[in-house]
Amino acid sequence: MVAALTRLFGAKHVELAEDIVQETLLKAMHEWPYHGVPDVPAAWLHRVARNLAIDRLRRESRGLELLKENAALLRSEWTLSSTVNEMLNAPSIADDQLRMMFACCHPSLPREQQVALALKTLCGFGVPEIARAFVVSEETINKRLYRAREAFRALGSIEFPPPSELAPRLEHVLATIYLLFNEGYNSTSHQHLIREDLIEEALRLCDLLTRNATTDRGEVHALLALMLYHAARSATRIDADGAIVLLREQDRSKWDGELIALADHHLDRAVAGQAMSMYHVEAAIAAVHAHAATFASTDWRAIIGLYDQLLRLNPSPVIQFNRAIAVAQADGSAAGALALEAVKGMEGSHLYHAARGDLLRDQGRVDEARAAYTLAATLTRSPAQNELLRRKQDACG
Amino acid sequence: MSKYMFLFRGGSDMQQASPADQQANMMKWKVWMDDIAAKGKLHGGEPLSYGAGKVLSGRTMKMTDGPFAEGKEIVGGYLIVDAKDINEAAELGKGCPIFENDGSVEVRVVMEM
Repeated sequence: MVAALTRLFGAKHVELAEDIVQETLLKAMHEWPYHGVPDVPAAWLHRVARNLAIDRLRRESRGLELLKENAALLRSEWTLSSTVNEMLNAPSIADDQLRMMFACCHPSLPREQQVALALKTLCGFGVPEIARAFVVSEETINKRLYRAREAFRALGSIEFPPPSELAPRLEHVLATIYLLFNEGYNSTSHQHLIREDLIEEALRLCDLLTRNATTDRGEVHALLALMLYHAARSATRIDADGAIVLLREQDRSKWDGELIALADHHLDRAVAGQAMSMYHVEAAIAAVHAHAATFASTDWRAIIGLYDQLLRLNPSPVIQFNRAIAVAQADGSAAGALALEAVKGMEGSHLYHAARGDLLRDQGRVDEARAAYTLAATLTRSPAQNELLRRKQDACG
Repeated sequence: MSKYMFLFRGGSDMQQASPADQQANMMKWKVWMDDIAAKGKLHGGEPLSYGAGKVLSGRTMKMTDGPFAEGKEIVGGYLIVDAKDINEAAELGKGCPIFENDGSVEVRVVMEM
């Protein structure tokens, strides 16, 4: 709704759009308890927001520098209400969200501002929630939003990028969505509900992209597939005490078959596209895991092959690291340790030392393993990770 | 480019129509004006209520209550557009939905002083 209103008022007035939505929700909170929740709450909210928008436009249309394309129509009573109606109409709200997505993920904004702005305007998160999601102060988030809005004003319009710029701009949008997802999926430091919200919003935004002809592209389906495979496992990733459950130990019967089937569908669509992206390969890896009956019977050869492909697209230490883990499964811990030795640039990561510890332990080198776990524990602040590492240290005797 | 004014007369009084008809009618006006706006030729204008109105006339500013004319003669609104000549302005006027309700569009040149 903020997205639709922002298009109505112009990118310069994103706060005005937020105000109206706020006012709409306040009205709902005042009226619904007395008059009951309307039959179609969404339609009610839509109607109230529309009327408030019309009031504001009537009062302020002279002063507002509205979007040029609509200025004449919004200034005249002939067309004011039908124009507002049309701009807030349900089918075009999806398009507005897409436009807004591209604007929020504009390359001129730093990533952290992109994410904060996307959560505020596209997902309707409040400042305290965003602050909790990123474990920073509300003041920091306010600052990020303020700077993002300033940059946003400088951009002026919020339109789809022209076809020639679509691919690189889409890459930014996808990267932000994936970041949103990972924030929800990987972080164990915040409350369960916020994590679920972040995952759901990332899936929703990506799904929205697949439903628009312009952005219905292979890499979008690939990212959606990748996130869905992960989401299918999310319930089994953390136990009742909030501790991480490793892939090896997850209860595969509790993986969400419907989400996996949906992921399969999007992976098929992804492969039908022209381009080949990182998300394609990562989704393919996730698919191999999702379809393996047990950890031991996973097709590790296929996974190593996929990591090799991924390394050709992006020779990063994290991918080399993951490949080494797969090598350990396929060829034994000694071969895995050798592959891990070759990885440079992960020495500051607890994951690297934890994995090194696992491989040393499996080779019976318990003292070295314990030292690796201890080092890993100093490198993470996540309580769940620390708990896991402590258990492993204890197991080393 | 000069400015031209459309004066709308007659048509039916939309305030008497059902909300659905009103909305359908306003949508037609919007489609027409959208088209003019898309060409960058729409200046603005407003509809006029068929309800209360006053006419002041003469030295004594004698005040009489509206309506000011019968049916077809009532001015229902105005619109100002840009056009290169009166013919183009008249062409733009042809899309007006008022004709469906038996109204008329008077096209006039805005005088440049």
